[in-house]
Order: sequence, then structure tokens, then C-alpha cells
Amino acid sequence: MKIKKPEDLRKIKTRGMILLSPDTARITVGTATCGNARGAEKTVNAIKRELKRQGVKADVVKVGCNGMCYAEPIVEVIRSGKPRITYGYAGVDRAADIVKSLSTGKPVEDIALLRHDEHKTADGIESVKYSKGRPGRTYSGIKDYNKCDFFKKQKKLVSRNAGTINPESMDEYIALGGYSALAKALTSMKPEQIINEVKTSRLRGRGGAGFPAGLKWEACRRADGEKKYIVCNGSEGDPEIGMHRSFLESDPHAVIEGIILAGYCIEAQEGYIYLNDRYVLASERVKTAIRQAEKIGLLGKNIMSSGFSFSLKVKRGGGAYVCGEETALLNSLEGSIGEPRTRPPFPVEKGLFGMPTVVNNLETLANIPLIVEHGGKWFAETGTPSGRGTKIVALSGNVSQTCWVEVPLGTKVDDIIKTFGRGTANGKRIKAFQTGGPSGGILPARLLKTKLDYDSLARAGTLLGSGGLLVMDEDTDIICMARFLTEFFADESCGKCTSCREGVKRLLDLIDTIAEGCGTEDHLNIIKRMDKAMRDTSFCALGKTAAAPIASVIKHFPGDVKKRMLKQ
Amino acid sequence: MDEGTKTIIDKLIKKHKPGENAVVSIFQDVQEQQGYLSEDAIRYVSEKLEIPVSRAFSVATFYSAFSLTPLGRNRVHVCLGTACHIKGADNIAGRISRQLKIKPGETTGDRKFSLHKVRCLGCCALAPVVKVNDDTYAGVSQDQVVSVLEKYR
Ligand SMILES: Cc1cc2nc3c(=O)[nH]c(=O)nc-3n(C[C@H](O)[C@H](O)[C@H](O)COP(=O)(O)O)c2cc1C
Ligand code: FES
Repeated sequence: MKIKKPEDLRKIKTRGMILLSPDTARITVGTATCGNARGAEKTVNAIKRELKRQGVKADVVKVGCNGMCYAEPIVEVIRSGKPRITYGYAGVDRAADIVKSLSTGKPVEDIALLRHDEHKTADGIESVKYSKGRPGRTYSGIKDYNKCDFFKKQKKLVSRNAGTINPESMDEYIALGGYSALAKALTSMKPEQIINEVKTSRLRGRGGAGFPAGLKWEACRRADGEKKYIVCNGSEGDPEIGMHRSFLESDPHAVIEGIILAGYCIEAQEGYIYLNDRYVLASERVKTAIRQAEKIGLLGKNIMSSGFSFSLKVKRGGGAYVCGEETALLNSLEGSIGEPRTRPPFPVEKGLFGMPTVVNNLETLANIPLIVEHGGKWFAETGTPSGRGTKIVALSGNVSQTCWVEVPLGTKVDDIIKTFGRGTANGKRIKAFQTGGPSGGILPARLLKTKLDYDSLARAGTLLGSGGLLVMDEDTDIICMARFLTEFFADESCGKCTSCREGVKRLLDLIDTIAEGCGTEDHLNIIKRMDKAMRDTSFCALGKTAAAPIASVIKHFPGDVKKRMLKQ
Repeated sequence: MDEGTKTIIDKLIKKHKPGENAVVSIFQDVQEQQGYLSEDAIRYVSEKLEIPVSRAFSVATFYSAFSLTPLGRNRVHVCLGTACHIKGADNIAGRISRQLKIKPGETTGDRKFSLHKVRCLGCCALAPVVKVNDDTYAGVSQDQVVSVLEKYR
């Protein structure tokens, strides 16, 4: 059946709701990359075996990641009329207990993390009710989802479905409100109207530069070209953040819906999703989702009889960090090496195959359905003046709980570390943190009160980037850290411009000299001058920011640097 | 290049629309199926797609996903992403290098192992992480990594 009007989604919605809370039972296992690495697939098989052995009936469903990567594998049990229970650390050896809980009705207390009486999307519109009546004493020992800081303090707008729905089931996506924004847009909104909403929302790009999405679209819509393209940037080459991968593996339709909406606004006929070469599972799930959307006519010719036709393809890159830079990405999509292009002309004028192209980060795009559904004003209520809406943040390094979360922009960095990361793993003092991936500066603990938004981080000397937050405790050798990041740039410099290609090598030599205890004041001055020179003359932001880690260390950690200097 | 390989490549070329952006995708498939890009394969693809050999080689050498030499039967990926670095991944990488007597990017003489460094395997919660073929080893110590490798000999 092809979807022609918004009401047509209703039937699919009912089907999806039954899947999400069936009359029998539903056991879900988190099988994003983080779960699989902890053996989630084995847990799936063990649960299936146990169901057979114990003669119990239940649907076993693979879902994505709910963000609690530290507690993988995560298993959830949903029984008709009973609260949904989340189990953590559910290895193969716990499968028998979990399955048994279905027949005894008693949850496995020692690994139960949460109970969930009702699942509500953060916009409050859709919900799945699990418990009928009060949950009773059987569940009193298990923490209520709504009282658990890990979720209470988040605002899961973009990632509302992650970990709840089956990423390979479009029905479940639609059950929780999916594609209703697209249906609304195509049947009752003009592209200009949507662009206006996006402008009102003040949504800024989540890929690094923070450019207002509405303005970018408007420029591309106005540009001349016989064809136009929308490209979703899922390159994510930063060496520590897998949250966009995790998100795609958990809810691919959310990104696809955003891309189709963007395509409608700029009148593109074709779109590409460009993924990191290692994102095999994500790419499979996205491809499945595209086929499903094609099948019900949300991709293809004359979508919902609106006259708008659009097709979408997935391409994996070849493994180069620089291909995250939008013009390098376009070169890579065209089958060349991923070297950046001169700008102007900007991609919105001359992009893919010389045609006007919008390149947006995948998280930027995943925000669009929400804006279309609830309006730009609603969206702008969350966040701070410098950044509206939420941001997905990947917290890693020396924290007790490595995880990814979605918080309103403007949340303080140390709140994120305390609430979600539970401080450092060993109780040690935090010495430094870094946001925005390798290009972000390494900042000292006294700046932990900085708000996580575009301008506050820029003032502190770093950037929001695509949302990594790395924590270093007092044992961290900060010079070694700067060396590590500089080496990353040295590996990844594409070699096109001299200041970056040669600059990163010289920087590495200089840091080595300092690390070996042979550094002098002169070396530090050269680094400072190189930082400026590379900022001024590099071709793209890779070279421009390559000296940021070491320059920030010299600025913020003079004591550490001095200790390593040549004793004269 | 033998006829079998040619047929495989022909099939892969057909799968992707010729022209446009096909080179990277075709190389990806060849790499996956053959384990590496041989000089013959690169030349053959450039001929078929009617692009200069120099461009085909520049693509083959630019991206880290492509290898111009055959890889080992077991592929050892040691994560040197930031989260793993903080948890001492450099020492793990060093230990593997000493054990196998190869540097990252190289293959052992007996083609049993090749060693690759990667930047984040997507499971930072498990740092430091080493992946051998499809098996992930979480929170490995230097000693553990040696016994892990022995399993694949
Ligand atoms: C070296 C380098 C790497 C980048 N990597 C990414 C990336 O992985 N993902 C991304 O969305 N943007 C990345 N960017 C930013 C893109 O060039 C571009 O600004 C972004 O995709 C635009 O989307 P947005 O406006 O939605 O943020 C990178 C930029 C540079 C200079
Ligand atoms: S940094 Fe090693 S898995 Fe992410």
C-alpha cells in the first residue's frame, strides 16, 4: 500500500503499537555496535534457546542503544499490563533468569536497572502504556524511569526512539509518530513555509561550524541549477565519538525523514547519505529503512501525490577524517580523492557534480521532523540564545559511566559529567576535558562550569563540534595527550596544502622535543607562531585547528609544560 | 590477472552505475572480496571505467580502507581512538607489534596476521579495545592480548 494522505499512516500505526506492546511478551536486546561488542548477539541467541527450553512465548527483538553503553548488553522485558523492565549487564549467563521471570512474574532484581510504566516521547504526543494500575510491591525495589537522573535530566527529542523501537521496523517508527511530519509537510505545507519554520527554530548545524540550517536551505533553494542535491554527512571521523553511529543503528528512519523534508524544501531530486567506512551495521540498517520507505511510497516518484519525487542512496567513505569536511566529502562522493575544494563557490551554489547542494550533519537533519511537526517556536523554547534545541553528547575517557545522552544546549559540562558519567572512574580529580573532537582545545578543570553551547564553548577556547566530551583525570599526561591528537592530524592531513601537510609534521617534532625533556622557551614560541600561521593559511579547518590541542595545553597547563622543559 | 578475478570485477562494476562516483564503491567491494587491491585490479577497473590510471591509483592510495598488499588471514584491529588512548591503548598496540613483529599497516611473513590501527571502534565504554576479525576484546591488558593472539595462530 502506498501512503497518499496522513490518515493512511494510521493503519500502520496500529500495527506498530501492537509490536511495541504485544499481548504476549516482548524481549528486546540492544544490538548497536556497543552492545554487539559486549556479546549482545550471543545474548539474543541464548534468550531464544531459553524460551524454547522453558516453553515460554515471547517476541525477541533487536533494538538499538538507549545510551547506557556502560551497562551493555541491555535487555528489556515487556509483558502485557506490566511495567517494562530494563536489565543491564545481561550476558549469556543471565538469559535463563530473564526468561524465567516471564513465567514467575518476578523480575531479576540484581540486574534490573529501571522500570518504566509508560513510554512517552519527549514531545509528549505519543505514548505506549505498559502498566495497568499501580505496579505493586513486586517492582518496588526497581527504580522508576521517571525518577532516574540518567533519563530525567536528559531531553530526548532527536533520540526519543533509540533503544525502544526495532530499527528495522518502519511500523514501530510510525507507531511513535514517525513520518507524520513528512505527511503533514507534503500535503499541507509549501517549501518556503517549512524553511521559515526552520529559520524560526534557529536550528544551527550539528556538524561543527554551527551554520543556521534555515539560511543554508534558503540559499540553496534560490540557487540556479538543473538539479539539486541534499547530502547527509555521517562521516563522523573524530576518533572518539560513536554516537551518530549508535543513533543511526537505533533509529535510521528519523534521519531519512529529515532528509526527505530537506529535499522537499530545496527541490532536490536526489539525496545521499555519506557514512564512515567502518559503519557497516549502520549502513545496512539505513539501507533496509530506505527500502521500506520506498515500498510505501515515501521515497520515489510523486510522493503522496505532491508532485515531489525523491530518491536516496547510501555511500560509505574510504576511511579518511578529512572526508567529513563538506567539500572533501563531495569530492569523495564523486569518486575522487577526498581533498577539500576552494570556497567560494559554496556547495549551496556549486556542490555535488557542480549542482547546488545542501550538506547537513545527520543530527541536524534528524531535528527537522520535530520542527515541522511542532513549529519553529516550540523548538526554540529549548536551549540558549546561542543554540536552540538539544545536542547528543558522547561522554568518554576517565568517567565511571561511558555513555551517550541528549541534553538541552546550554547544560553545564560538569553537570553532564556528574549526572551521566558519575564522575571519574577511580574517584580521582578531573584535570582536563575536551569537547568537539581533536580540533577542540584541551581545557582545564576550572572551566568545567562552561555551558555546552556554541558561543560559551567558543569563548572558553574550544568548540561544540559534533558533540564529543572527553574527560581526563589527574593522572593524565597532558603533553602526551596533545601529542596523540597532533599525531592524529599528522595521519589525517590530506596533503593538499603546504601549511597543514608540513605544519603537522613540524608540530609533532616540536612536541616530541618537549616530551623528551629537551624543550625550551623558543620551542613554545615557535608553536604559538605556527598555530597562528596554520590558522591563517591552511586550506580547510583541519589544518586551521591542528595546533589547537598543543596551543591550548601551553596556555592552560603551564605547570605541566614547565616540568618537562630543559633544566638549564 | 586471471579470468575468475576479471569476472568478479566485471560483476562488481555492473552493480554500481558506471561513471559518476563508482570508483570508491567498486574498490570497496574488490577490497572486501579479494582482501586487497592488486595492481592488475586497479588497472582493470580504470580501463573499464575509462578513467586515467593515475586517478585510480590516487584513489586506491588515498583512503585508509584500501590495501595494496594482501592482508593476513586474521585481521587485528587495535583501537587508537581518544577514549582508548586514555586507557593505555598505545601500550597494547606496542605489545601486539612486538609479539607479531610487525608495525601497524603490515602483515606477518606467514600471512597469518595483519595489524591495523583504527580510530574508535564505536564501543568506547569498553576501552581499550582490540578486535580480531569479528571478535571484540574489551578492556584488554598487555598480557591478555598476547594470549588472545595465540588463539588465532
Ligand atoms: C576536518 C573536518 C572534519 C569534519 N567532519 C565532519 C563530520 O564528521 N560530520 C559532520 O557533520 N561535519 C563535519 N565537518 C563539518 C562539515 O564541513 C560541515 O560543516 C557540516 O557537515 C555541515 O553540516 P551542518 O551545517 O548540519 O553542521 C568537518 C569539517 C572539517 C573541517
Ligand atoms: S576510542 Fe576506542 S572504541 Fe572508541
